[in-house]
Amino acid sequence: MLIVDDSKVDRTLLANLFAGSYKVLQASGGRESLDVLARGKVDIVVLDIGMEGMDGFAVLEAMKADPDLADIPVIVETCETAHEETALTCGADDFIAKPFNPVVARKRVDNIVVKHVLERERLQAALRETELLAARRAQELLHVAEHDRLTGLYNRTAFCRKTAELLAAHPDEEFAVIQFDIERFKIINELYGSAKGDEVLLAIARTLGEWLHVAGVYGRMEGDRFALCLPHDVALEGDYVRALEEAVAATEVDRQVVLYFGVYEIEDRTMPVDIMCDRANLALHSVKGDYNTHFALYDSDMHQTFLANHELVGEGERALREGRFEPFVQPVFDLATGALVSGEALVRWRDPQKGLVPPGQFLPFFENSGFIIRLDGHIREAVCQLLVQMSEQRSSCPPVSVNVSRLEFYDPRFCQNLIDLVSRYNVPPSLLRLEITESAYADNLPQLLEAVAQLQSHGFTVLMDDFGAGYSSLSMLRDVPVDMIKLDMRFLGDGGAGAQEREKGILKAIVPMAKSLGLPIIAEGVETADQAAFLKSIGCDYVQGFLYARPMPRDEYVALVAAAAAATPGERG
Amino acid sequence: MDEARGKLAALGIEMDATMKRFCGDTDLLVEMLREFAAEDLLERLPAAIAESDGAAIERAAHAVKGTSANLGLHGAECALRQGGPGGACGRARRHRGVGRGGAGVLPGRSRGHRRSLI
Repeated sequence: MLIVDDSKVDRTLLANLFAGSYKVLQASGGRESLDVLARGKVDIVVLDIGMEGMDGFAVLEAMKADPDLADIPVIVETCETAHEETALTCGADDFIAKPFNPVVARKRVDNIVVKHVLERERLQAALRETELLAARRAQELLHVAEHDRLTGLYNRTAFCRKTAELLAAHPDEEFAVIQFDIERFKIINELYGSAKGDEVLLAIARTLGEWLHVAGVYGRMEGDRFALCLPHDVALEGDYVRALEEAVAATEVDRQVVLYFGVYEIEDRTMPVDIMCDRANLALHSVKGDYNTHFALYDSDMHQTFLANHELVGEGERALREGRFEPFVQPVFDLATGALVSGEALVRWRDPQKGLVPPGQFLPFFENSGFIIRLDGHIREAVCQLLVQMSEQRSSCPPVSVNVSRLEFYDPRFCQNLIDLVSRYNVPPSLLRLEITESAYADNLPQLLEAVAQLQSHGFTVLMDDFGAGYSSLSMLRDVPVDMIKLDMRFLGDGGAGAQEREKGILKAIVPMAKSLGLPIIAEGVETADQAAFLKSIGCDYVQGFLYARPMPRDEYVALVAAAAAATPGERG
Repeated sequence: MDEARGKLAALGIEMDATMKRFCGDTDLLVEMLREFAAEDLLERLPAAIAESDGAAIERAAHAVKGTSANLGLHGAECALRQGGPGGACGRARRHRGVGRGGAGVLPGRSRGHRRSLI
């Protein structure tokens, strides 16, 4: 308690009155009272109003203006009833009249102090609660900011931060960063619904928690891609790999779910963790689609390859702008009659320095980069021009097929763009055949089926390319409404005599079945007379390959078509 | 102690209420009476009157009134209350005499200057 009174008598009297229940400070004037308050807060001020110099009203005003002092309760002492009302209006909490009635004075001071102490405690409790709530909320926000909502695992940012912390905390231990994902995860979502897809992701998250929660850091980077940072020996031991595969198998998805792993063994700890992740990811992509190996270690060649690929795509962009891509056409012949029935357009890159760049050197990289869509668009345009040229020279011309990348089916305008293209050139849609690789059907079934149906209804002919190359099941022939099938003979022949015989056996079964469904078959990659004889024996309709004709520049093809037409007038495929 | 109380009562101090205020501490009351007599409080009023400073007169009169009331000097307090600031002059002069006289009759102090007006 602070007693402020310029009368020592009154001050002493009050101090004596409250000495038993308060620690009493005294000030003999207004200024001195503010000095005392500046040194430390008190629970209550008993303030004389009529003081010389700075009077009680001025002190009250100064206290109310100072945020540190404004909440200290003030009881004024006065012998003038006129001052009581003014003091209360100025912010005093109560007054005690002179001469003091000790009972009344004590009671009023006690009441005010108790009220203020209770109020302060209530406020402090509320503040503590608010702080607790804020802390909890901040924790929740941090959790949301750092964790993947579905699996509760760390997200990319948090994974990188936690990994950096782990590496810093164990400077003498060897670590590796691993990235893994699920082969064709999208199909699981498409075929079984996203709930099943989520179930697979949750099974992975659970297994990571069970196996690795003490070993290292793990998180979900995006979609079906996860990242781990583990001690080197744990990373290469691979127990967790088996555990993950078992967990995924236990989700009862009715097809084999394959996980691919890429591992980067950390050498340079100063490298940002996201670059370590990129390197693990490069290793992962090096085994993507490999049926035998699901696990790859990063090596520096991968980085070089990556840079080279990146550069290649840049060169491709430039070549496309400069018109250096052109279609070569490989003719297709009727196996029974030898007549030229159609052609397949194949992209060639004519580089001013390198000459013709083999397609194997650029197509796979363009496929992965998405640049293939623009390249295919360019080739289709050139093929339409070729068809227009041939139609103008002859009364009819054989159709030419073009390749359609599976990536195109993600573009909702894809069908309309094709329809617009043929109508712009006034080319019958049946002349522009569309080859869709078999693996695309496995990738994106619903959109693709819809697109194929729409294209067929507009008169396009759809071929299933590379049939038998990998993913197909025979049931796909039943489900997918294609018009023709292409078998690639290059898929025969690498597996030794026994394997060749088995594959020939499969072809023997496929061809009659396709024919029974009314699907004509083109065998491409036919290079030997033996192959031709075999194909003839099983009733294959059409052939394409080096044995008959290589892919050729468009002018040569036009000339060949003209010559063939002259030799066998009226023949069409 | 009773003797002292008797002397204080003889000065016109309202002993019951005042002793309650001083928590029964007669020594403190005596000390404070001496303090009151020595304070320049009693000089302020005549000085303010001499300078015709109305606000100062009022403040000094209130101060004297409040403190004298706390000391149980009922007469002085009444005199000031009745007079108010405007009429405090003569009474204040007398009051001054009270203070000094009061000091003179306090127990244990010289009684040679007793000029009590009460």
